[in-house]
Amino acid sequence: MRLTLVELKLLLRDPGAAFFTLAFPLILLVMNGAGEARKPIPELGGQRTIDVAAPMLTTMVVAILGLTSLPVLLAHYREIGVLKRMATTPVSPQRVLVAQFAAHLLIAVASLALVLGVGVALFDMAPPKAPVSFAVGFALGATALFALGFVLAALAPTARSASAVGLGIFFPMLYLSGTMMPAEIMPDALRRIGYWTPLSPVVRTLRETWAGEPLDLVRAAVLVAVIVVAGGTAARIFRW
Amino acid sequence: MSVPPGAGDARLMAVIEVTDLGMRYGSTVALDGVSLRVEPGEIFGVVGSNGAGKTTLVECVAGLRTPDAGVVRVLGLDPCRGGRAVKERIGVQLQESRLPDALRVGEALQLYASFYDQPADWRVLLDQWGLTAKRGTGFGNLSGGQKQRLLIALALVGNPELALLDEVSTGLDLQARRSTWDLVRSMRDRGVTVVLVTHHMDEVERLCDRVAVMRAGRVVGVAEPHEFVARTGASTLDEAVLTLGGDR
Repeated sequence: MRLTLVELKLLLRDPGAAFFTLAFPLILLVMNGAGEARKPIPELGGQRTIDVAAPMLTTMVVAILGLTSLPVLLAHYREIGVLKRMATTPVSPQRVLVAQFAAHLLIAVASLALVLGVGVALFDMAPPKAPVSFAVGFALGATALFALGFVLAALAPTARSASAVGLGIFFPMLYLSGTMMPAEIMPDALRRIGYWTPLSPVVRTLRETWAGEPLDLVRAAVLVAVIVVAGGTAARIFRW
Repeated sequence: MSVPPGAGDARLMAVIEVTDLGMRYGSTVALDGVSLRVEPGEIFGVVGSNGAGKTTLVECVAGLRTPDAGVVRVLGLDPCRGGRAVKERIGVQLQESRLPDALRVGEALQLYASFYDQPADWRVLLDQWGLTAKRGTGFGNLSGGQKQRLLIALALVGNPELALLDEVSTGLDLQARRSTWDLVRSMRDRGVTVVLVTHHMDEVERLCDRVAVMRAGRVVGVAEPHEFVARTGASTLDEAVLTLGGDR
């Protein structure tokens, strides 16, 4: 518990992490909200931009946390000996991984709450229409991306390489998966490639459940498979 | 701890007992038949050139590595299998280990204190190690000496019976080294057994009751520092250790 609190404080003290996960989504929201976000768009089946903003921004934040923040931090901890140092105490270094997971999840929830609060107050945003399904999708999506982050952290020898690989995966996937712009308005070829990225089931699930559709069980199963395979791989190859 | 400092009563259980320890990394032999005993209440030095196996020895004793051969007993327990029971009772300062830059001094001590069942009062440690004024400062903004003092204080926050200190004074200026020596002595005076891995012979002469010289994964001698000088006919401990532990 104390460890999670400390890791959370450290995350918030990192100006980069705090900006990109808490402030940046709000900036994007305000920029969009100030434009024509409240006009129905035929390509989105009559949905308005503001109706898809929260699930897309949340997916972006979860991807930033899982693919860039988490692996870089853990690789850095290994590099400076924090994990090994903890292995000499009665508390297992595995607890650091659990604490990092919890702290990153809390940041994602806080970021969503901020977007929703500002969106509802200023831009006529509606809360998720299927809140329970959305919560399940959010938990699965975040856990899947964080599990991928653990794999990156296990493979990367240094924080620098974790950062390079993480960003290298993050940026193309962010655009291809339909997280930065709705997949419906993307060129067909790109959309088909993006469909196979791990970010695609996350953004689709969050958008669908936000709009009130039930949880798509195939997408949920894909996310569970990512969690099991990536989590298992990370557990096997992670070194302190 | 009812044992007086420096007591060498053979009936007492050794704090560390290492027998025929062997360890290889691929084709590199890190430890080759290492045996030694560290008695309660002593400051035990470990010296030798880089690659002699000092850090591997410390990591085996701390339970971080399982040796390929031989037996390690720390306070009568196997450090690799003993789990919490051993780790509650030892404090470790690893070579080149650091903390996250944004972690503040007070937070670090409080956090590490929470890992132990019966921790020392971290505020008292803060005071003893001269860090009270730096309580709210992040690790990254501390001076070299302050960082090193915090890391040693963290090794002591669990109220250990045994402290393993790997190169605690490396990178410190003379004044900071001197005050570190005083603090290591005060640890011993409080009944803590100390293992000190070092490259500084002045440190060994001033602090250590006994010292082991290592070379190429073996212990080539264990004695009181002045005995080494006499035995090798050298004029200083530096020379004696070079004669015994040098690669030439």
